Amino acid sequence: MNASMVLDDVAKWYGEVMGINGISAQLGPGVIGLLGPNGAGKTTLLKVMAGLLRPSRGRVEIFGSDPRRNIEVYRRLGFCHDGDGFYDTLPALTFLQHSLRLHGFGARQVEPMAREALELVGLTDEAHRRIGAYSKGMRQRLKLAHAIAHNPDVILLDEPLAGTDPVGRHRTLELIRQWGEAGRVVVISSHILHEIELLTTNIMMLSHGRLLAEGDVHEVRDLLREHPHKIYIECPNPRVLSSRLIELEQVQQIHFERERRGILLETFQPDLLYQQLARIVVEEGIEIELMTSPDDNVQAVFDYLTHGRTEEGD
Amino acid sequence: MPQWRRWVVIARYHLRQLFAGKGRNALIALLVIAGAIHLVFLAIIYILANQDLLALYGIRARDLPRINREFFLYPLMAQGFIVGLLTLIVGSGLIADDRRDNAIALYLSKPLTPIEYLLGKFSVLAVFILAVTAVPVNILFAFEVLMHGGWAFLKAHWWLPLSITLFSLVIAAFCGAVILMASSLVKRGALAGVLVIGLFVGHNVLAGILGDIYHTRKLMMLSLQFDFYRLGLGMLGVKAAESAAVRHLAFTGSEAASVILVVTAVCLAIVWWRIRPVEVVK
Repeated sequence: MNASMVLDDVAKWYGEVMGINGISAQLGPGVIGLLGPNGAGKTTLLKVMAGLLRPSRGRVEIFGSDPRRNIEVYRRLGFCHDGDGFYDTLPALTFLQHSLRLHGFGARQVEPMAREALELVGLTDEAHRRIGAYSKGMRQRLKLAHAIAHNPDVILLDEPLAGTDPVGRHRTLELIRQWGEAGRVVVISSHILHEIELLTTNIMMLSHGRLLAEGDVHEVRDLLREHPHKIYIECPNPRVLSSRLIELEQVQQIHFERERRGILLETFQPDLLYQQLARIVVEEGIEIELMTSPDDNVQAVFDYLTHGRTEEGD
Repeated sequence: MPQWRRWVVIARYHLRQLFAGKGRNALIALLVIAGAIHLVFLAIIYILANQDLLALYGIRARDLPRINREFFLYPLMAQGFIVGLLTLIVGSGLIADDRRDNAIALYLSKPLTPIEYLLGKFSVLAVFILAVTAVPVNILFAFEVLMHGGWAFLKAHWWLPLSITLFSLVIAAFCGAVILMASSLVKRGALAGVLVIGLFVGHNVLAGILGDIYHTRKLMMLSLQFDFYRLGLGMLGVKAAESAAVRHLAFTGSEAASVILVVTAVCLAIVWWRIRPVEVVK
């Protein structure tokens, strides 16, 4: 992977309170979901990534340079903060123009750039309205516009979906997906796993300031050996299917879901089981109505990982 | 826009905001009063240059101040109150508002260094302070050269405009450091103003008490007003033989400069410590 951002054993302590600890990762182009419950250290990690906080230990590099107070990095970095950082008396367009001027763009360049950013987040009609009169959702969208108005290569978004309405949320998710597809490094934090799952399978999971897992969520799932994969199948004759499946050594357990004519399989070898399953279905002429992996998702992986940590802590 | 001019964006923004906001009328009023004070000195130069006018109104030249180096310190010191008010009105919200709006992180996650950020903020205040000190007093100097002193005066005092400008910059730097320090400590501009007034009154009271206790005029050095007066006399090259004020103030220009420098440096150190992109809550 061509790493645009490198985190090497990064730790941040606030006195005796640990913000994050021992975080190492290499992030390349695309959307990366930074997941964790409130207080996990997501905001601290994003601020360390953005060079706004000096790590107590370790090293952060963006495009090969330390971002802290690094003007060259900030030219290529867009940061959407967790809190508001607006001048409420200014219209949004003026605010963005002012911000773009600070990025070094000329007086003639900033207006079209600001308008384009506002259009992207759907605030064109509100461009001349005072920011103080904006709703929470509009302010969130303006924060996004502010983060991307200067066309950065790395975009760090701290809970950008908080407080947005469904339409704004859909638009924002679409935008973030597009930025990732365009080859930008987009790190988005959220404590709502479902939101991230809509965007990417590439995740970083934090809990209590530590990195629990990093990478593709499916690969991370495969590494969790102590938890068998679950496969849920619905078909008209589940008993026939289960009688054949129970003979397979890959199947650990079968649970019947009587009300829904379904069976829940547990296996440590999902790939082999899928092959065998295909063979059985053809041989028995079974019509599969539904087949899902209920625990091959971000929430399940996160639950497994944090459950383990809780037990350790206990 | 080149990097070295990036701070100008901050200054320009604040200047626009000041003249668009509620404080505009107060600012204009202060500038008008400052101008009126300078007009008095302009009138003195004019009257002294105009013997017919003196004769007409029966004014004796010796009743008016002499136009010498010390003369140009009077309009600078006469602006003290105006400079103080400008500092409070213009400077108190410069950083406090950013802290309130959580905007420091916003600035410092841009290609802008903390020094450029502070320079942008300071320059807003400096514009106003120089507008009531260096600019009009240099105009007074030019007026004196044209009206009265002529080539001889210019030849003898060619460096005076530089000294006036430099002294005005010292005033601006000091006021800027103090108000930015106060502004960086609070989230409401009004509180920063109260803090500065408290500091100003407090140190003057302290200087007075200590002076009474130890019966020494040397402790006048603790009063910033006297420090500026003494420093101004020194920077404008006024000698003890020429000025009763120099003889009265029982400390040197260097000592006054040291006090001003120490206070400025402490204030700047506090500002530097406070300018952090992230509010750390322990």
